[in-house]
Amino acid sequence: MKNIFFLLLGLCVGAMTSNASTEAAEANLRSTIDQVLVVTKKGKGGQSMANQLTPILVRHMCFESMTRRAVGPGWRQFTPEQKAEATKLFSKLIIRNYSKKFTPGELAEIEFLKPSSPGAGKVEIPTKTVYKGSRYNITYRLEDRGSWLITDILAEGISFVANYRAQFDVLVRKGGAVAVIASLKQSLERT
Amino acid sequence: MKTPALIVSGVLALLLAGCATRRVDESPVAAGQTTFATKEEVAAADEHDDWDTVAVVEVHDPIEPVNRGIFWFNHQLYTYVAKPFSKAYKSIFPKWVRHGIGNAYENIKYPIRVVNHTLQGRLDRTATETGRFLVNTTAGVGGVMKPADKIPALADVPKADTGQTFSKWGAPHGPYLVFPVLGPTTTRDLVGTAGDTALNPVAWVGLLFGGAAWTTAISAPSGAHGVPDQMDRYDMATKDALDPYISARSGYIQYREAASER
Repeated sequence: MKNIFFLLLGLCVGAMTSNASTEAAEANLRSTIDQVLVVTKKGKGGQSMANQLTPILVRHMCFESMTRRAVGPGWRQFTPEQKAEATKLFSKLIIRNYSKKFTPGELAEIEFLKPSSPGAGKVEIPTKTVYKGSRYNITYRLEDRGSWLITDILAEGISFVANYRAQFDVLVRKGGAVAVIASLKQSLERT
Repeated sequence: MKTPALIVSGVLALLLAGCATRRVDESPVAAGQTTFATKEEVAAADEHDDWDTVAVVEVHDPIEPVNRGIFWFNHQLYTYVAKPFSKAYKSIFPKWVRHGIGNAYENIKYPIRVVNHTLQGRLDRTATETGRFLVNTTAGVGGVMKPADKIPALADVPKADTGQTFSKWGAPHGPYLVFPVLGPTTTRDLVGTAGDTALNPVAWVGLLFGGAAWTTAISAPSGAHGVPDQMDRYDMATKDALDPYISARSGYIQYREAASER
């Protein structure tokens, strides 16, 4: 009887903690998206949009883990300097790529769906987004790293990090950290 | 229902070589496939080596050099023909006209969706899809408008096609292929496209009136309507890519995996 009581108590506490996590993560995501939409509504396109979004994204995205996971196990071969440089370059690429998804003045309607928690400190928040007349399924992955940070974005099931992982993997096998950094620089130089 | 499903999926499985999305901590891949990380590499990882949180796409691409050549050709075609066309199309037709055309063609393709929902055993979606079709066809003036989107019970039903049905039945992707003009596919989706074409009423017009010219004439506006969206998606997948070919390939496989799981 006692065991059942503790089991139920444990389940209740677990469920409450999980709910609190998903609520905190969702509140953080909503706030981030609100800030992004203010910029995209009033801001200009191109590099100007990226510049305005940078401070928001730096606060709410975990670029370090995104870079590490995009590179994959080859990350171990990187020196601390190479890790720092790759993270800096990849962050710029993420911000530029993300900024290009928006057209100044266009409004997005976002419906937040039921979040889930695939593991401790991790929350996935699916959304239905209507943008420029088209509907998109966009899922945000967040992790608790002191505050809730975005670690991946999936548009129609396509993971941003997994997509770059497929590309980095070939580079890591071909030329290690040097090839990855050179390719990132080359990509950033392209307009 | 189960028997034909098993027969078709069995035949497809024999015809097609494997291709799947895997987590990196699963078994190493066979020779000739694009590899990412082996079990040993993951096992040796330190506490921050959480690469397995990323689902890595494993693609069987046995004719990659040929596919890359066709991808390059398509890139030129998209850049110098499709994009200028898309720009002109957008400037001639206002947004509401473009959406109306797209909605109507989407509505006509109802048999593709309803048959595949049924073959996938999702009778609830068959019913919802039918409700959507009836509402959009009547109140939406032949599907030009989508009033069903305003009805919560009908608003949200995932699309279904024959390639997805094969996936649900257990058929693997098979080799990745890139076709001139049409772009990427897999052997499974190629067979699926044949099924979709057979279920598409636009294709029936050609059979009824005895000529492919009819089908072409009727499907041309649909094709033209799709170009701007396809160019946007192509740009998104390739513009900031380190290797546009791999980015498009990974994106395609992930997209199809996700569509099959919905």
